[in-house]
This record gives sequence, C-alpha cells and structure tokens, in this order.
Amino acid sequence: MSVPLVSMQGLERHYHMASGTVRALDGVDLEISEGERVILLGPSGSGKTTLLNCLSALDTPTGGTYHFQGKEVPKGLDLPPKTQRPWFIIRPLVSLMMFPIDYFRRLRPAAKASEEMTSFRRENIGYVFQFFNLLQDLTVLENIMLIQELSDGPDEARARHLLELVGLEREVDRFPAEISGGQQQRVAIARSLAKRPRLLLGDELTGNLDSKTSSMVMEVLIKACEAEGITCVFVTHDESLVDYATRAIRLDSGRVTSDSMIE
Amino acid sequence: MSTLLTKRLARSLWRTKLRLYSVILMIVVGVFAGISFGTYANSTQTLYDNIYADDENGVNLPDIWVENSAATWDGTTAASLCQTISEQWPDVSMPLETCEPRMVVDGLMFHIDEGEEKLIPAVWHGIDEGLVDRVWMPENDCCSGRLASADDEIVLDEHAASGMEIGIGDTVSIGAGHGSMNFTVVGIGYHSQHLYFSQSGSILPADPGTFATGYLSDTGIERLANLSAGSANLLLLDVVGSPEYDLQSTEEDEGERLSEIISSVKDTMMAVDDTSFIAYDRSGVDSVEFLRADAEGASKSYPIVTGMIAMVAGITIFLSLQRLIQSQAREIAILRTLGIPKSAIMPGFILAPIAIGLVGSSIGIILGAAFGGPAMISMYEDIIGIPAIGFHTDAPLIMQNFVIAMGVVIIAGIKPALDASRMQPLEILRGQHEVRISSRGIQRLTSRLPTTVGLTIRSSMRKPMRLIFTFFAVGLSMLIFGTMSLMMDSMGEVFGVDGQNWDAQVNVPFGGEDAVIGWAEENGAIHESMLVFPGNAEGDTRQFLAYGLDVISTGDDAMLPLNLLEGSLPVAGATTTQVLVDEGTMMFLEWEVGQTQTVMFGPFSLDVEIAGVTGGELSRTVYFHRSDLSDAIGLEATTVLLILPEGVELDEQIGEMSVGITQKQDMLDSFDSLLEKQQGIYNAILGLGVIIAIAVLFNTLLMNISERDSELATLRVLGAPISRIRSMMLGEHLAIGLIGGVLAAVFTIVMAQYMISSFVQWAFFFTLQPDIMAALELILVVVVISVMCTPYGTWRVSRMDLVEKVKDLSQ
Repeated sequence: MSVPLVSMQGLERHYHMASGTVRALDGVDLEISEGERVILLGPSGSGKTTLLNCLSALDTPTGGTYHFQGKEVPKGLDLPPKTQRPWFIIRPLVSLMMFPIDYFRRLRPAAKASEEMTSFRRENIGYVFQFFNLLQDLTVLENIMLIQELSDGPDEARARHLLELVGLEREVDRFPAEISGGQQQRVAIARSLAKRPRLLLGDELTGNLDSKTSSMVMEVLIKACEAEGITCVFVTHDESLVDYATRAIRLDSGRVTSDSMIE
Repeated sequence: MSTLLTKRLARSLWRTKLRLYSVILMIVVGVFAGISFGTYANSTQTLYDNIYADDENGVNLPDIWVENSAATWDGTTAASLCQTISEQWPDVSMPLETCEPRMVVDGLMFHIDEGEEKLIPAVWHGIDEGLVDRVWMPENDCCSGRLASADDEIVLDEHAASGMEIGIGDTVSIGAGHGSMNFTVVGIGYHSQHLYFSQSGSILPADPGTFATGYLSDTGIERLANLSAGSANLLLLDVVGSPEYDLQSTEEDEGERLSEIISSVKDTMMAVDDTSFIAYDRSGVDSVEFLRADAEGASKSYPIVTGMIAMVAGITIFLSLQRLIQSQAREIAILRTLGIPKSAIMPGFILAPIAIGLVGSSIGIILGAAFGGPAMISMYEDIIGIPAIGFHTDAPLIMQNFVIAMGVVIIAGIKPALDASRMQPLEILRGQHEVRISSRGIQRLTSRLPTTVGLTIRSSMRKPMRLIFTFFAVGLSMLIFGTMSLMMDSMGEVFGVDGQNWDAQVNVPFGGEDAVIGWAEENGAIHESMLVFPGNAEGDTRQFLAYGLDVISTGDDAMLPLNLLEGSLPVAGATTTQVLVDEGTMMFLEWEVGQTQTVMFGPFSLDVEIAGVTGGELSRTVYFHRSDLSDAIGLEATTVLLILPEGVELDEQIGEMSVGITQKQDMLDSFDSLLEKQQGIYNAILGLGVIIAIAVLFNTLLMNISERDSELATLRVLGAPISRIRSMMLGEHLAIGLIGGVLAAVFTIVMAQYMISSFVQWAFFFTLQPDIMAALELILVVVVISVMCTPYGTWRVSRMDLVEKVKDLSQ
C-alpha cells in the first residue's frame, strides 16, 4: 500500500487564552494522497486556516501527529516563558545582561526548529495567498526567479515555461502593479510552482476576484497542477469551487464533519 | 481637538519606542551641546571683559602698544617720547589718559627640580607706576600677596608658580643675559599678556615647569638686565574709555578712529626717534587676541553645532512621523470616511513633535546646565589655567537653545501633519498609496544582477527622498565626528616640531650670539644663527615674523626644514631680496608668487620678491636668507639654533649668556600634554557624532525593515531561509553604509574645510589636508553602524509570527 502524502492523526491546535482554551483544531484525522485536489470548506472560525497553517508547517499542532510522505513534519518549540523582571529602566538592562542565557536556553533552539519548518516548506510546499503578495519591485518573471534563487538556484527557462502555463508569457517584464488582479494571482500560482512543490496550498485564493476571473484562475491552477503532478489543498468559502476539486472536506468547530470524494 | 485621537497617536508612537527614544536622544544631545558650548562662550567673553576692564578690579588693558623691537630707550628718551605723544595727540574727543613706559625682557629661570637645575625660558616685566596693564590678582585661591616694590622682589605668574610649586616667600634665581640673581616671591597673579600661557612664538599652552613669567619693580628689572634707571622698550598708551579696535577676524576696520590715532603716533615717533619700533592695538597682543578669538570661535560655533544637531533631529522626526502616518494611513482613512474633519486629525501630529521636543529639550537643559557647562569650564581651567570666576549657565542661553530646538522640531512636524490631514480616504482604502515601485531605469540597471540583489537595490531606492535625507543627516552627524578627527590629525602637523632638527633655540641679547657659538663649539654642538624680527606689509598694520636663516631647505640639511608648497627656494643676495612667504600671509595679503612687495621693519622699508610659498606655519611668517635680512635691519642674530651631541646638556653658563632658551623636548611635552588634556573632550565629541549617526541610520534602516514586513513574511512563508534574508539585508546595509559613508566623508571634508577657512585669521591660520586615512575612517564608521542593523533586522524577521503575518497577508 502506498504511503499517503499527508497523514494526520488526532491533530489538535489549542490556544490558551485568558478567557479559556480555544480549540481551533480538535482531533482531526486526515489522509491526502498524491494527485488529489482537496477543498476545505466551513464557516468562519471552523479551523480551515489553522489546518492549512499546520499543513504548511507555519503553525505547530499542540497534539496529534502529522506525517508528510511518511516522515514526521518538523515542529516549532513552545518557548519557556520569560522570567518576570522589574519594569522600567531595570528591565531592559536585566534583559540585556540575561541575553546570552536567554539565547542558549530559548532563542537558539526555537530558531533552529523554525528553520527546520522553513526548510520543510521550501522543499515541499507551494503557497498562494488571497492578496497575491507579489513583490512590487520585481517584474513578473523576477518574482518567480526570486523563489528559485532562494531554493535551488535560478532557472529562467522554467520560470518562462510556468508563465506560459498560466498564460502570461507576454507579461514577463511588467511589474505587478501594471497587471490585473487575476493576472497577479496567476503569477502567484506560477511562483508557487516554481520550486516543484509536492503540495500546493491556497488560502481563499479567489476571494479577491470576481466570479469570471475566479474561474479562469482555478482552471489555470488545475491545469498547472496536473501538468506538474502536484497535490492541492484549497481553503475557501466559495462552494462553487467544489467543481475544481476531487475531494471536499467540511470542518466545523475544529472537527471534520464530512469528507467526500467528488466525481 | 479630540483627546481620544491624540491618545491613540501617543500610543502609536509608544509602540515604536526605539525610534521615539532615538529622536528624543538627538534633541537632548543638541540642546546639551548648545548649552555646554554656549556656557563656555558666554562665560569666557565675560571673564575677559572683566579682566581687561578699566576699573579697580580689572587690569586696565592699554589701547595702544608701542614696542621698540631692536633696542632699549633710556629713561630720558622714554619720558620724552611719552611727553611728545601726549602733546601731539591727534583726537581730542578720545584723549590720552596715560602713557607708561615699561621694560619687558626675555630671560631664564634657574629652577632646581628634584635636585637638578633646569633652565626655564622666561619673560620678565618691569612695572613702575602700574596704572595700566596691572598684574591681575583676583580674590581667589589662585592668587595672593602684593606687587613687587623693592629691587629684589618679584610677583610670579600663577601658571609658573603652580607648575613649579613655588609659594610666597620663596626665593627664585632668574637671569636676563647678565648672570643670575635671586629674587623673593611677594605675590602670585596673572598678567594680560600671559593669560594664555605660552612661550612667545608658540601657540601651545606651556607644560607646567617649562615656561615662567614674573612681574618685577622697575628697579628690579634694571638690576636684572643691567639697565640704567627708567629704561624701557615698551610704551603703554591708555585712552579714556574703551575705544573700539580693529578685529583681525573681520574685513572691515571696527576701530577706525583708534587706527588713525596709531598712525598719528607712528608719525610722531618717526619724527623724534630713529629706532625701529612697532605700534599696535590689542589685536596685536597674542595672548589677548588668542583668548578673544577662542571666545569668538565658541560664540560662532555653538549656535551652528546646536542648529546642526537639531536639524538632524528634525530630519529624524520628519521621517519618523512620515512613517507613522504611512502606517496609520488606513486608520486615518477610516476616520475620515466616518466624517472626522481634517482639523481633528492635524493637531495630534503637530502636538507629537512639540511633546517630543519638550521632553528632549528639558532633559538637554538639565544635563547641559548640571554637567555639560561645568565640564567645559573645568576643561577650560585645565587647559588655559585661569580661574573660572563668574562662570554660569544663564537664562537667555537656555532660552536660545530651547527656541532653536523647538523651532526645528515644529518645522519638521508641519509637513507630516499636513500630509496626514490631506489624505484621500478612497485612495488609501483602495491601497493605491502603497503601490510604489522602483523606476524602469533602476529596473533596467539591475536586471542583469541576481534577483535577490536586484530586489535589495530596488527596495532601498523605493523611498529616495528618505535616503537622501538620511544621507544628509548622517553627513551632518559625521561632520561633528569628522571635523574633530581631521583637526586632531592636522594638529600634529601644525603644532608638532617632530620634523625639525634643532634641540634648542637660544635667544641672545643683541650682539650676544658669539658667546653662545663659542659655548657650542666648546661642547661639540652644531650651531646655526637665526635672526627673528617683527615686520609688516606696507600699508598693513598686521605683524608677521621675519626669519633670517643660514640654510633654507626642504631637506634634513636645515635646522628648520621648510614645507615648500609652490615656487622655488630664494637665492641669497639677489638684486631684489628673495623670500618665502607662508600660505596664510599669502592669502590674507592676496600676494602671489613672483610679485615684488614692500615690507616694513619699523621705519625701514624693503622690497622683496616672493620666490615661493610655505605651508604648516600657524603664525604669519616670511623667510629670508639671514644675510639679506641682516643687511636690511642692521642686526646679525637674535637666536642660535643648536643640535646637541649625545650627553651634552644646556648648563648655567649658557643660561647666563642667553635671554631665553626653548628646548624642543619641552615643546613636544607641551604638545603631548595638550593632546592628553583634550583627549576627554575629543573622545566625547567623537562619541557624540557616532551616537547621532547611529540614531539616524538605525531610524531609517529600521523603518526600511518594518515597511517590508509583508515582503519578508511572504518570502519566509514561501520557504526563504533566514540565512538568505540575512545576506540580502547585509548587502543592503553594506551598500547604504558605503554610499552614506562616501557621501559623509566628502561632505565632512568640504564642510570642515569651509568651517576652518571661516574661523582662521591672521594670528592663527591653518588648513585641513584631506587625509585618505581619515576619510576611510569616516566611511568605515558609517559602514559599521549600518551593518550593525543587520542582526537586529534578522532577529526581527526570525521572530515574526508567520501565522499572524499570513492572517495580515490575507486581509
């Protein structure tokens, strides 16, 4: 039996607040196989984005397990609380003196764990934001090449190929501000594919677009993911996007309430 | 004005505490520096005015000095000259009050220090009536005793007495070219000509125990110098009241009437006496002029320093408020959409710089009045050695600094406040104000570079005005650091005597050089005679010193090697006497190489051809071949330069045949001592410049980083390792540091030269040579400060809560 791409067992993400514990994820069991296109649906506060954050290793579950291709995904460290120090002038002074101890006791291990999570994202995850988040100072082509440069080195041919895949081969030298929102989101998709991720995550990626543009973007995304053999997970409020998925998972109060395959 | 809106703004400011502290710090530093320097400037000026005053507490400084440069008038001649001058006094509205003959001679003190006799160069004054230019003995711990009346009594200058630990009742052994004699110390005080206590011809304050001055009775000096009764070589003329005199530091003649009187006195003197003399007002007395120039320099510079630091603070406030408004644009737009009027938005942004200015100024005033002013005065007492009587930080000075600081911060706050009130809500809510991309030109320029490098450059250039302001502010702050650094480098060249080959300069009475040469030959010392004589250009009252040298050379074959900047060395015995002139004299007199000019030695005139220009002389100097100068003024030598062989030291015998000995080692010690005394203030000013530069650069670079939070968060979410982000930041900071450093160095060198050129005057001239090492040092400081921001930036990015950032990115 082949190992699932994503495997979560009893995943929990609890936040301890003054007003009590918020159970953003409360025992999620989930397996996603390669090639699936999963859509996460649910009302606000149901835990969709928290699940996406845990999938991308941006956030660390407080309970349960998360394996990616059979390997445990790196976790961030819960920092031990800072020692309470007197206020005003003394506190910064004491903090300064205590910095070396703090560094070795708290900061360095936390930074190391954080970098392991970053490496995991770099090697496995593509991410598309609702508001595109392209770098305004870089052209369309450079936005894609930047991500390559930060991982395995620049590959202009592939960057151009991806832009062709999303239908933007004529816009390579334009700045993000010079193209439409739909085009920007297509650049963001091309960017997310640039380093050949295993899993592509999208958080309300059409939330800022009209329905016609949304459809175009989704079609481009599906086409690109199929061409590259990439598994996708999207979070959305838009039920109409179910048409682009192979599987729909509904969440409510941090639990999976339904999980169905789509023909 | 809404209290809630103001409270909201205050909280926003408090959230950026680091930037807030840096702005307050700069205002504190500006006001602190202004009050410290201002206290010094105001107090010194008041002190000098009190000392020179024509009242019973002051010394009654003369208005005109008539000096016999080449000989001594006997008692009858001196009295007759005074009588004639009085009778032919030209201005009845400015009558002559006193004409007092005085005898001043160079000499030596034979001082036993730790069992060893030291020959200390000295100046002895013989004071008869003492109606003018009295010895100053204020009611202070410094001074005590009475004036000398018997022919074996002396009042010793406080600088010398404290330096050699001599007290009232002690006996001192002194000489003036006619053996040594014992005198009893009956008083300790100061004299106007030696308030700034340095050997004649030197600008360095003498190290304790290396120079002495004393004030004898008229009979005392006649006994010491073997002179007839009433002999004098100086006439002190005191006019009723305190007439204006010509300041050397200005173009115009402020003392036109006094200048006319001096001219008339010269005519009178030339008609009745054929000896060489010079006549001058108080600007011709080195000590008086130096202290006046010092006080004037401090008065000129402290508003500039305060203004400069306040301007840097103003730029930082301006940039910080701009950034604050940018970060609050959406909130302001929402408030405006909800119907809040412009008039409710603007006051808060005006109030913010006022509040910041008030806090900074208050701290600066407290620190300046409590510590800065007293520290400057303490340094003054340490270097000049005059008791700081009546020094204080007064209310007008505090008010002046407060107004400068508040004026600058309010001006800095107006533009951001206007921007905040003029925001278009629709534009902001559409996010159009955030769309700011680098130009196509920069994109083209950086397109071939790696994308990370291109991004770094383009992001840095996104706010060119902010960068320009930052570089300007860094330039200003480095000006404080750089000017001090460049000046300290130049001081070594100007004041130092390292390059000179003589060990001792022995001043001799007229015709007394043969005895010294005999001593030198007996002791195997190499010797060279030198003739030094005061002169002036025809039609100009300012004095220079004419040096007659046997060997004029730029190499080690000369006892006094010269630094020839232009032209060639003069030829001895030319038809028109050839001379070298220092660059200061050339500049002030607007002379040029190759010209023939007329110089005056008292009543005698001489045409000279300017063969070349020399550099490095603090005082105005003209170099002659000794034979040429000797022919012109009829004297052979005034000084013998000696190079002493190993093991030979100056002894009592040479001391008794000389009228003053300057030893090179003493000058080196004085220079080291001065540097040591100034080290504290030098380091403090260097530190001040660096602290301001750190605050300015940190402020801008932190703004750059915080503005790019979303970009950096995107990169982190997409998997950019912290090491790559660190490299990007390091590259950016390195580039900003390098560009800022180069601009700061250029700015500093240009501005420092401009500042120095506006401060130099006839008596003290020097130029700043742009030194490559000093420029590199400046660049390095800026680069280091800039690069120091990288760890903070990296730390800030590494501790970003990416989950929260993703939420922000999705909103």
